[in-house]
Amino acid sequence: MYRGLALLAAFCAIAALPMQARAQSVTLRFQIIEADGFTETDPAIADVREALRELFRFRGYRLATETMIRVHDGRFSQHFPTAGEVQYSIAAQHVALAGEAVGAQNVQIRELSLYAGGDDQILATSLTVPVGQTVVVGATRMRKANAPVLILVVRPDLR
Amino acid sequence: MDCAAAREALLSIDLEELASGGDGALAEHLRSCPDCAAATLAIVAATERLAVDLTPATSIAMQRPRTLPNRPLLIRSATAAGLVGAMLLGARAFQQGSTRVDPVSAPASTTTLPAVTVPPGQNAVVFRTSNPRITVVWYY
Repeated sequence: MYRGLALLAAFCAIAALPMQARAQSVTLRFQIIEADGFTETDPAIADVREALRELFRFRGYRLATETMIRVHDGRFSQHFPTAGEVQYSIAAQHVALAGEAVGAQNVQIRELSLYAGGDDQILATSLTVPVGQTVVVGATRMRKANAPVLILVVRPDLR
Repeated sequence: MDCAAAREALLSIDLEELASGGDGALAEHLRSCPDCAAATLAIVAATERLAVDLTPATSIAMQRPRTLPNRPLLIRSATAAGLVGAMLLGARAFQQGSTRVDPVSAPASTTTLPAVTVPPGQNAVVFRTSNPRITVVWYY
């Protein structure tokens, strides 16, 4: 009974929010791709794989792991589902939506850090990504001996 | 030519010309300034490391930068099939001493293109691909 009333109250509260306020909930989809030596074709990264093939010599790409983050308070820190032996995590200190016009909004992600195996920071950057765009971030310096090149895919969305 | 002008020139010069020290005022400056000479070597070395991963067409595209009125540089290549363009950002590897330079970033807030802020000490190239929804940022 009380649970039903609570759910009803929550629904009414959400419905009462201005449309603009609800539209400012940012969702970030992150994918970690391993490059080189992989022949499988994962449809989840088909668009990115085609773009990378235009640019780089790597012989193949594999989706290692991915996660979806809904940003509530302007920052986040989250582990990826474990991919093999390596545990990846990602964090950002400031996430904000910029731009007023629908269809011309940018998601600002500042102090974005990707970690592997605990606190080994393998990427640090800040990005501004228009909603609906995909940014693919890689680094020659990510490469370690006998390890694949790691590539981070960032796909912001509004929910 | 002073160091500031030289480093501006280094960001827009043809990389083959850069490897050979350039000509004119820039070459003269590089011969007399160890810091800028080191910067030149750092840019060439970093770009060579990047080229290892690039397809030949993309690598060729990077050898022919075209200067825009403001940084970042925009590279276009008819030889790189599907490659719309690329922007070199940063070239921060050549910073020497205690001089602090703010991170370089592409304009973002008024465009529909992604932007990246490059921390001091790192270089990045931003590739626009044939897919208008996908931008590739590569640190090197």
